[in-house]
Amino acid sequence: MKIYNMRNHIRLGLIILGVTLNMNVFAQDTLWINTGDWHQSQDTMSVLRFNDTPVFDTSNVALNTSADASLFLTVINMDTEPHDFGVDGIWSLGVDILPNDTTTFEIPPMAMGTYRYFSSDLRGMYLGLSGVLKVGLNMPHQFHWNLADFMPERMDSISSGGELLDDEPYVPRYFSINAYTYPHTALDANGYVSMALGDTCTISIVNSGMMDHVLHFHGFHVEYLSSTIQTSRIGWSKDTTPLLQGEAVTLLLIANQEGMYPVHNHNLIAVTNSGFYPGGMITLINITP
Amino acid sequence: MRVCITFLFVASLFCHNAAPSVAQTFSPPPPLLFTGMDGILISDGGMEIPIWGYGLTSDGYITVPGPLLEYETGDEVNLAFVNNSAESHTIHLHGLDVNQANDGVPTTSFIVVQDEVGAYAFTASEPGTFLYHCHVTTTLHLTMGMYGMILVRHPGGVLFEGGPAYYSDAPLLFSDLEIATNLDPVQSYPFHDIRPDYFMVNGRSGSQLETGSTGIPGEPGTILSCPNGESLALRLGSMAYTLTKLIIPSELDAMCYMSDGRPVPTPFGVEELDIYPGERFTVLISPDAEYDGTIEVQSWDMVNQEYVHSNFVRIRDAALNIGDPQSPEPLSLSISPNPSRDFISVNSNDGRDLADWTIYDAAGKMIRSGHSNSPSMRIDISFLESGAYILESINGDHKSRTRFVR
Repeated sequence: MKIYNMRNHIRLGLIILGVTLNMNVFAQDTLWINTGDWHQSQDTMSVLRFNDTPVFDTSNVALNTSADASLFLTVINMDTEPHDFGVDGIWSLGVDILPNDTTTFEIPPMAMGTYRYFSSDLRGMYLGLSGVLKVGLNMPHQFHWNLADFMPERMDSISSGGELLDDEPYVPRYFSINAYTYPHTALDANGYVSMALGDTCTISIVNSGMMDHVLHFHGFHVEYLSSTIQTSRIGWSKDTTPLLQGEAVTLLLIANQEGMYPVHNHNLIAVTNSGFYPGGMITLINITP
Repeated sequence: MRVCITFLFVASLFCHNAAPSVAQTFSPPPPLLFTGMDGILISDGGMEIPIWGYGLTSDGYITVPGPLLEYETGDEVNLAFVNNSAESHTIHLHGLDVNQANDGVPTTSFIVVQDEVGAYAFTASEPGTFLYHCHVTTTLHLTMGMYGMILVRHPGGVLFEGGPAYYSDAPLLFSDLEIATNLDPVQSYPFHDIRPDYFMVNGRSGSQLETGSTGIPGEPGTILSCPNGESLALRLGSMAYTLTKLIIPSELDAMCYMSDGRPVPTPFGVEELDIYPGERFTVLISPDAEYDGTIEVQSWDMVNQEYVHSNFVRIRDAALNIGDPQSPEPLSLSISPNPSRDFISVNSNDGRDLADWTIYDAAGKMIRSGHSNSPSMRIDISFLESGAYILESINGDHKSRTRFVR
């Protein structure tokens, strides 16, 4: 781990001024930890997000970087509590980013695939600090699905400084893809798969939730290109893909037939919004002639 | 503007009362299946659990799971069902990658309302293990029981082209239900907290998986037998709301060759296998000589990741079956209408007189008996309480049983 505190202020100043450093040997990005509200049905939940501007957006931004090159990240914590930062199974910052503080660090080169970047502290996990990191994916058509589940009562407790009770069952009421729930998933250009017949795309999926999920593809089989947990499945062709808690996978989809097909969680409690069907983790694949 | 139009269209995709968006253009075949919402599942403890489901039109009753549908690689399939229930239903051909018109999703394909016939056409292009289920208000219709397994066999007794040979198939469909939901589906909202409390293998649970104790007199349980030196193909699929975890004894030399209707690139030995809802696996087992043991089928809560329940499927060397009582003869009675409130007509399919007949309730208690010198008769059942019953006919050495529901 290297923390370039000396360069932070210079880099941050350039970024704020809209200037990017022209360095070919590594990529760089800046993330703001923003606070805001997420509205679903009759619930409003206080959430945290990694955004690429200081303005709160409901979706965590997806990061892209090259394979086999370092990624320099600057994280600016706008929350009132400290947060750690890491890439699941790859790298961890090891120290907290304090409120209103800025830290820049280098993440070592990673192999091609999809990874989860996140904060592993309780507040970060339950309030949504978890995003998609794509490494070395170069296809013209790329989509990403950041899966999450939310229990408003638990989020309210944690956002106001409460602790988890061991015997309290987890009963999520919302299930989202990129912070969208069906039918609003159709508005998400990153999640709604739209291609022409014969096109090929990658779909980067991260399970940022507190439970396992399982997605079923109508109309298509997809091939596992990478997985951070179920590595034995790389190369498998599947229509039903489990995403274990914290797992990140890259899937290859070949648009070999026209039409509109759903992709949805086959744990069917998760295709609901506050218990009402249809909702939650459903998105669509639309293949045009 | 384009986004808005797309959103409005997509927002209606899962509503089940909209007009079909893709019409069927071929002549539908006679319905093989029908859908019903008045079935009864007899639990391991003898409880009568209401179910919805699919049944063969030739049988006249629905089951959980629905009938096993069997095809051969390359078959051009025309599959139709008649909806005999008040709610609309469909068939989603899970994993067969059918086109949009035949996908079974309301509005992107079509929906089948009461008394109408729905027909699906597809090519069984890949061998393997697949599923089918209703895709209308899916969260509810599945927990009520509207699902089954599809098996596409490859010619030549092999799993797939260039794949291993095997002796026979053993379909095992894992599912579950929340009893309170099935008892009162109208009041079952909200659906986000369905917590199954009854767990099944091929619709059976606990002691029902042992021979002769299915709750139905004389109906066999689930003992999988395989001659020593041969391989049995476990066709594993899940329609559960829980994670299914199989614990397979090492003596069975289990090898996984396929998942979701495709060969896995490298077959692998398996002693523990996680099957998530909607997944399928094909695993070959080769029991040692004189093997007699069980595969444990564990169910795990997916939300809190806690162990919930175990069922056991017994496996044994076929040589151990020698000397066992003979399996019951194939059913040769037909009953219609089924279910019925007042009368049932009983016909012997092989033309034998019905002779001595007996009605048993689900617990095996004799309710009524009689004698008929005809291959057909009409029986008044208006006095029976609602539930599932067995009609047995004995003519000399020939014994037949079939189930009906009042």
